[in-house]
Amino acid sequence: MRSLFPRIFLSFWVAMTLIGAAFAVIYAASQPSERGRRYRSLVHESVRRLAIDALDAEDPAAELVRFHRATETAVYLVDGDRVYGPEPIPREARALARRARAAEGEHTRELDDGVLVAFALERPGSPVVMARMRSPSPWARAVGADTLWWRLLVVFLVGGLVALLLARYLTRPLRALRRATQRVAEGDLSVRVTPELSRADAEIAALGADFDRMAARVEELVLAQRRLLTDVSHELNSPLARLRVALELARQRAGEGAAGPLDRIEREAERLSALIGEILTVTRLEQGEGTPREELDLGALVDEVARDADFEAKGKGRAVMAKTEPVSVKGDEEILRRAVENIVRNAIRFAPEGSEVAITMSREGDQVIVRVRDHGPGVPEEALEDIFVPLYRVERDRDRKTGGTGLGLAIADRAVKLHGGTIDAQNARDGGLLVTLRLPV
Amino acid sequence: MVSPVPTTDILVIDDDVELCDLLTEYLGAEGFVVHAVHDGREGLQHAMAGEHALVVLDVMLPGHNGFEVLRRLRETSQVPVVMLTARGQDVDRIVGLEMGADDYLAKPFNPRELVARIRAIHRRLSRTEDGAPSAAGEILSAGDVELHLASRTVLRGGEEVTLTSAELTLLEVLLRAAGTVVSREDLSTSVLGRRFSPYDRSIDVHVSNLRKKLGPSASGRERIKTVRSHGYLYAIEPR
Repeated sequence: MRSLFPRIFLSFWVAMTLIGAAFAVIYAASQPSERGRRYRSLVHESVRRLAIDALDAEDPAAELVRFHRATETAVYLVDGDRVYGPEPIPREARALARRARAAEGEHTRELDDGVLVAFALERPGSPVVMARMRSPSPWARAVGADTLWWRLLVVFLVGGLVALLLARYLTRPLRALRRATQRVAEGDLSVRVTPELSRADAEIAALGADFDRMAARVEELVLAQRRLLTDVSHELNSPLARLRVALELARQRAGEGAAGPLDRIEREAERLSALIGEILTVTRLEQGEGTPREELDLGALVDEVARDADFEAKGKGRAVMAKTEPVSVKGDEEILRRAVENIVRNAIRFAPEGSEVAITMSREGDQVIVRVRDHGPGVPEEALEDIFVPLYRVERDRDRKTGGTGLGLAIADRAVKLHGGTIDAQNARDGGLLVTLRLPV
Repeated sequence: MVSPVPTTDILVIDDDVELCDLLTEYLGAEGFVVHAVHDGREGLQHAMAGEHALVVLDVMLPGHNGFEVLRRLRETSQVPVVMLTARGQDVDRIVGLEMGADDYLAKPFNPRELVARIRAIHRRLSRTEDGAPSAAGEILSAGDVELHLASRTVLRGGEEVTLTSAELTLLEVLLRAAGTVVSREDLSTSVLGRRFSPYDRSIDVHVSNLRKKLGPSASGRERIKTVRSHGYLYAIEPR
């Protein structure tokens, strides 16, 4: 996958480095070097003129102070014993002036923060002028900012940093949008991005607002559908409760001959009741209402379910075996019990007579894994994920001989997801279905 | 102590008027006299009046909801209560039993099952109330816990502990077999009056309530031990 972030980052970096490098080169080419001969003679000549003008002036010191204020360059004039120039006058000035008076040429003296350059104005013995040249700051010298290559390196590094920040700034709203989209895909429809994107650029902020409108609409529809399902289920319960009492009244009054059909009505009513109950359970789990989270021993829970399941299975000539270990998990005991129970009962339903449903537990890292394995017909590969969809039935299960409402595994799936876990099904290599439940410890 | 109320008098608290009419007719044919009330607050008054041998209480009620009625009722009365819980609300059953209900049925329920549960509760009560003559003054004890069968009272360290009739019967069965494991199947038969059905947590909830009410033993240990895959055991204190 070609990611946006490195591309933005690299292109900005290259662009900034090239621009910076161009500036550095142009600057270097157009500016006379401070070490260059022509540059020095230019300075030499202007300082000399300044000194001559100052000597002609009424107050040479004032002239030099004004020049210092205007150019921030300190120029001193030594005429005999008198030294003119901006305060403070360097202590080394007189000694250097004596040397310059004695011999031709430029004389220099290193100072703490620069260098003092002196020369006689006309011939030896005449007044001496000296200029204080500041050296580049120690910091600039330390990083070597005074050579072209070093400047290029600094441009390269600073450009990289700026490009990094810029790329992050530009891709941050996209990452926020992506996170939100992922959460919606996971079923959390309450997520909104506008608060996070409020400071983003107009186009991105508009995209975020559109996303929020879409999420709100989807949430509204899903909630309405869920509410309808819940309401209908509740509404069906009342007539069904009355129907079951009326059925028993009919039984009290009817003769023996009606027993068969009445039994059938009772069975169907019971099936309807169970179905409605499970629909209500699924919708409640999907709403994920704040479930109490308490420490519980999953091993003991699986053990209890296995014991009850074994009791049920024994009546049908099957058995349930469990190998458990104590593992503490956080969750709602009733919901988790329901999840494990539904998986195990589903396994019993498809287990051939005389076979055994095996439950095993293990720990892998920060997960606890419960595996339930039967020796039944398994599930076609393409339906392995669908069996957790409400009311999904594998084709050959259509005759409903096996009973069940078609909601058991869907309930288990919702229950486990509510606890931050996962559930999946595979066909065991030597036949039968293996359902694996993973929960965070 | 013999209840002055005929054991056939039943109070049904349910807001479904038509269902109550049908139940009155059906239970009447089974030999019960049904008084139906459709509001929680009114139902509570009738239940507290002590005019009925048993209360059938729906969880979803206008006025006070069923749990609220049960909570208030249990403050003063130990009249047996069968809760009608909504399907899809497994937790309600546990909560109902924890709050002192004697049994529950998921609604829509099979009315024959309701009759069976009512009769089981009456059987349990009459068995302990009539009592075998020899058992009249019998006291079961283990450690600091004493169960006086005649007065149906439980003392822990001389102080009375209030138990529901289901919890009391459960304690009786466990004390009689103290030191040995009693299976959940046997407990279901003797305490709930019905055959054990898998995935029914009633016995476990009653045991858990009993543990809470009795507290740990003098030596700080659990009085009632869970024996995995078998049942429960009342531990005998080492002397």
